[in-house]
Amino acid sequence: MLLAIENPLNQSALAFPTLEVFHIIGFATAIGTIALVDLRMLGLGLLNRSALQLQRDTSVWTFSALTIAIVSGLLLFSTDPDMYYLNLSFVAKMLCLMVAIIWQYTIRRKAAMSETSTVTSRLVAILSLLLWCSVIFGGIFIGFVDIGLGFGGRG
Amino acid sequence: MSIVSYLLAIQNTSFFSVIRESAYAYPILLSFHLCGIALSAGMVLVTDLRLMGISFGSYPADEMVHQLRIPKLFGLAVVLTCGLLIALSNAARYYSNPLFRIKMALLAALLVHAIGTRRLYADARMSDLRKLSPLSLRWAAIVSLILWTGVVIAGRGIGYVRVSVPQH
Repeated sequence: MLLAIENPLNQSALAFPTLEVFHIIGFATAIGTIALVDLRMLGLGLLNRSALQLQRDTSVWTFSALTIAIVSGLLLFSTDPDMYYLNLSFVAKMLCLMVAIIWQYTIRRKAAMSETSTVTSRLVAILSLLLWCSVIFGGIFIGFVDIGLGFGGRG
Repeated sequence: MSIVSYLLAIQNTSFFSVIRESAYAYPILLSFHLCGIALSAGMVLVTDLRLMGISFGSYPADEMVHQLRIPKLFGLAVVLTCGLLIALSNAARYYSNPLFRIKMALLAALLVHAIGTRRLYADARMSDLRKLSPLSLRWAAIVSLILWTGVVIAGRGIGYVRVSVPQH
């Protein structure tokens, strides 16, 4: 124990699973609404609206849900920061998440503006879906990779 | 033969043993399971928000229900396939888990709900659907969201319940 500060989230056995539920509902809503626009760019789903229109109508839900996922994620992280920090899958997830968010609010936003479904906009949509899936994979694998704690007594 | 010994016979087939004993099968299946949930969740949420009259007011509700049906079913197929493979590879343990049973009960309720609302959509006139949603559809959407939230809570809870697994 390096610091004598106790995280109140570690006091209750229910805190972690409750946060996980918020995290799941948050990312599922965020990625689901993002996928709705991606599918439209691929010529699937709500075809009577343009991708741009769909993007505008879903953006408030995407953003709010992403905020819930990130805030609950930060709180989950706070329960055992050095474990996450040293977890390869967690680091990979954070990298994928950063790229996915930047992709979402730059390149994909621009690609959604094009009226017709071009090869480029389709590729942008597929990459968006793959990036968000990789974030989910990274999150799940956190619990399945061995962590290399440099100290402590893990045999 | 009891149900448990029947489930043990299923999970001990070579196919499900490989899944259970592989270090990567479970996390990979679980990841796809959650990707499918995210995909379906977006479409379920958008449809329900429209039916509740909260958002997407300019989208005709019947058009939304109709156009999202195929992608929604695709997402659910991914969720169900992965879920089934995970559950059957450890069938006796999941069967003994109270939260798994609650999750299955909630999914059964959702199936009944889906069949019920199909009739509701068919009964409601198109012209009604294009305007504000009828009260029955609003309630259908609220029940749908409550049930899905329950599925997520029970699903996440499964891993936190320790059960002793009967061996035969």
